[in-house]
Amino acid sequence: MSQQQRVKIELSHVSHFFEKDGAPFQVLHDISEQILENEFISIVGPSGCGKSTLLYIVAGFIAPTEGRVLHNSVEVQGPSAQRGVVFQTDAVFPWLTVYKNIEFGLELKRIPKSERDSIVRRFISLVELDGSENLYPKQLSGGMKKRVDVARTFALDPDVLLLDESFGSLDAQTKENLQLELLKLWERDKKTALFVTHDIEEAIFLADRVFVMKRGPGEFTHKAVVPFPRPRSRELKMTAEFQALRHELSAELARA
Amino acid sequence: MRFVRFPSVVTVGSLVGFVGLWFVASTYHLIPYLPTPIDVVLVFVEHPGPLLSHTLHTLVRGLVGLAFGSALGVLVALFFGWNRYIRAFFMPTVVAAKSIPVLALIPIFILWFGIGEKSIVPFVVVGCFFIVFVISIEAIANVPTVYVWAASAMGASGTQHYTRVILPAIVPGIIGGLRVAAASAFPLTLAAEFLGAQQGLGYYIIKGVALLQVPEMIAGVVGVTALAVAADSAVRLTTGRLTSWSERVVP
Amino acid sequence: MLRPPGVVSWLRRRVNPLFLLGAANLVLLFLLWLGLSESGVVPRLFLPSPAEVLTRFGQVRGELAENTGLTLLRVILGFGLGCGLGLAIALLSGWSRNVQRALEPVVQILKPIPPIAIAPFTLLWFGLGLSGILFLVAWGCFFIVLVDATEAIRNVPKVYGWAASTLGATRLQTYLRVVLPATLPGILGGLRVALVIAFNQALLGEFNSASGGIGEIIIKGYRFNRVDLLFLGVLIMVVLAVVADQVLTYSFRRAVRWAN
Repeated sequence: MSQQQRVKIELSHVSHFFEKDGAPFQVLHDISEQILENEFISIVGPSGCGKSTLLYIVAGFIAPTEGRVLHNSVEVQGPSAQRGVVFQTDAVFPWLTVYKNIEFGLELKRIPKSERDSIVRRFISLVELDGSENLYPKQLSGGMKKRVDVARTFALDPDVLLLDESFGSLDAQTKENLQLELLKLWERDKKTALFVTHDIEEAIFLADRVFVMKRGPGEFTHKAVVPFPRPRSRELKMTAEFQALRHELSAELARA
Repeated sequence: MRFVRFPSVVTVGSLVGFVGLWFVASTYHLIPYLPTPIDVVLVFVEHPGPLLSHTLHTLVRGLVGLAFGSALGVLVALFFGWNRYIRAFFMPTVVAAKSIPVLALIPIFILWFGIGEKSIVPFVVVGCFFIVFVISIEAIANVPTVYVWAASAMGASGTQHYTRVILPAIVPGIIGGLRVAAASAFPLTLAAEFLGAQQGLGYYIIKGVALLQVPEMIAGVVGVTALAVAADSAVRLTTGRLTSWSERVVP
Repeated sequence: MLRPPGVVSWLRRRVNPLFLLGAANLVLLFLLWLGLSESGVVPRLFLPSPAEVLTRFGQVRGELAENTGLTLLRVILGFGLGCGLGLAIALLSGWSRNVQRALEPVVQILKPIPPIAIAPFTLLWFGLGLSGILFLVAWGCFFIVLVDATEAIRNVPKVYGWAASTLGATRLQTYLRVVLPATLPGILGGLRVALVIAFNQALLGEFNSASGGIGEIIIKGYRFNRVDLLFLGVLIMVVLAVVADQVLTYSFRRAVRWAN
C-alpha cells in the first residue's frame, strides 16, 4: 500500500449495544480502524459476531451507540448513494425489469435519459446479462438476480462499496463466477470496498486485507495482508500459498 | 406440448349424478320444498322481469358501496400507512375490522338512516372499506425492509421511498384486497336487503320464503352468485397485467 | 459503558411505544363516543351514551349471559362441524384423485354461492332453532376451510412423503402421520376467516329466526327502538369475536408449536 493513499473510512471507537430481553447486549466493542482508499477489505467471522451490524453502521443504516464512522473525514449520518450496498437477501425490485432495476438509482440522480441508457447497457454487458434486459426478477435465477444487484450498485458509481454476505445464498459454482465478476468490475476503478462474509476462501480471494472478527462482543482479533497480485484468477485458490493463508486464518477464526 | 384438461369420466359422471339426484329428490319430495331443476329454469325463461329488476337494484347498491368503500380504504391506507407509528395507532381499528361480525352493524345503519338505499349503501361502503383498508395496511407493513434499505443506499429521499418502492411493491396486495371486496360487496348488500329493503335480491328471496316460492328463491341465489363471481372476475381480468411481475399465485 | 437510563428510556424499555399508540386510539375513540353522545350533538335516539349502555348492561345481565351462551354455542358447534368436515373432505380428496374428481362439480357449483344467501333456505328447511343456525354456520366454514386445506395439502413438501417412505411407511401411514400434521400450520389463516364467517352467519340466522342469542338482543333493540340495547348487543359481539379470534390463534399456535 502506498503512503499516498488517504483514509477513506475511519471507524472511531465504535461500540454498539442491542436490547435483548430487557438488558443491553453488546454486539460490537470499541472498534477503531482505518480503511484506505482503493483498499478491498474482507471481514470474516462466525455468524452472530456483529460483522453485518458493523457494515450497516458504516453504511449509515444504524447509528452506533458509541463512537462514529467517518467517510472522507465526514461523519456518517445516514445511508447515501455514496455508500453503495449489496445485500445478502434478494433486494432486486420484482416489479422492475433488469434494465429498469439498474436504471433505478440513475433516475433518482436525474441523469439524462441518453446517458442513463448507455450506462445501463454498459453494466448489463459487464455482468453478462445481455439479452435479459426486459426480464422480470421472477424469471431470473438466484445468480442472475445477484448480478443485477451488483450491476445496479456499481452503475451508480458510489464512492465506497459495501457488501453483506452478498454471495451467501448462491451455490459454489455461481458464487465463484460472481466473485470473478465482482473483481472484474472492481478492477476498473478500484473503489474502496468492505466485504462481509463467513467464507474464508472468499474473504482472502477478494481482498487486500482480511480482518478476522470474533463474537461476543465483536472486535477484530487478527488482521492479515493478502499478498497475492491482481488480477486474480480461479486457479489462485489451489496454490499452496493461498491454502497456507487459509489455514492460518481458519485457525484464527476457530479461536474467535 | 400444451396439456388440455378434459374433465374426467368421474367428474362428468358426478355432475350427471348430481343433477339426477336433484331431479329425483324434487320429484319425490325427498327434500322438503325442493323444486325440480326445470322449475328453476322456468323462472329465468318465463318471468325474468322481477328478477332482473331486483338484480339491478342489488347491483347498483353493491357497486356504489364497493366503489366508495374500496376507494376510501385504499386512500386511507396509503395516507396513513407509510409511517410505522401511525400504523400502530390504527392497530385497534384493523383488529376490530378483521374480527367484527360486520352484519351486526346492519340494524344500526337501518336505525340511523332508514330502510332502503339510505342504509344499505353506507353499510356496504363500511364493509368494503374495512376489507380493503385492512388488506392494504398489511400489504404496506409487509414490504420487505431490504427494499427500502436498498433504495436508501441508492440515494432515495423519503418521498421517493414511498412513490418508487412502497407503492409499486404493494400493488398486487391492494388488488387482492379489491378482489375480496368485489366478491363480498353483493353478499353484504344481500344481507342488508334481508333486513331492510323493499327491492333488491335480498327482498326478492325473502319474499320467496314468505310465499313459499322456492324456484324464485333459487333464482335469486343464482343471481347474487353471478354478481359476486362477475365482480371478482372483472377485477381480476382488468388488473392482470399490473400483477404479472408478482410471484404469488392469486387463484 | 452505557449511560445510566433516564425515566424515558426506562419507560421505553418497559412499555412498547407502539402498543401505547394503539391504546391511545381506543381511548380517543371512547372519548369521541362520550363527547358525541353526552353533548347532545348526536341525539340520544341514535347514539346512546356509555352511561346508558352500562346501565342497560346492569339491567339485563342475566338475559345477556344466557344469550351469549346460546350464540357462542352455535358458533363453536357450527365452526367445529364445518371446519372439521372441510378438513376431512380436503384430506379425502388429497388421498384419492377419484374422490377429488367426483366431488369437484358439486364443490365448484356450491362454492361460489355466498354463504349469506343460504340463510333463507335454512329457514325453509330447518325452521327456527338451533339446527338451522348450525347448518348456516357450518356451511360457511366448510367451503372456506375446504379451499384453504386443499391448498395447504398441496403445499406440503413432497420430500416429506418421500422421506417417510424411505423410513418404511405405507401410503396410508404417510398420509395420516406425515401429510396431515404437515398440513395443519397452513390452515390457521383459513380458520380465522372461517371464524369471522361463523359469527356473521350465526348473527344472520339469529336476526331472521326468533330463537335467542345476541342476534335476537340486537333485533329487539332495533325493533323496539331501544338504542342502548342495540349498541350493547353489538359491543358484545365485537368483544366476543375479538376474544374468540385471539383464543383460536393462541391455542392453535400452541397446538402446532413445532411449526415456524
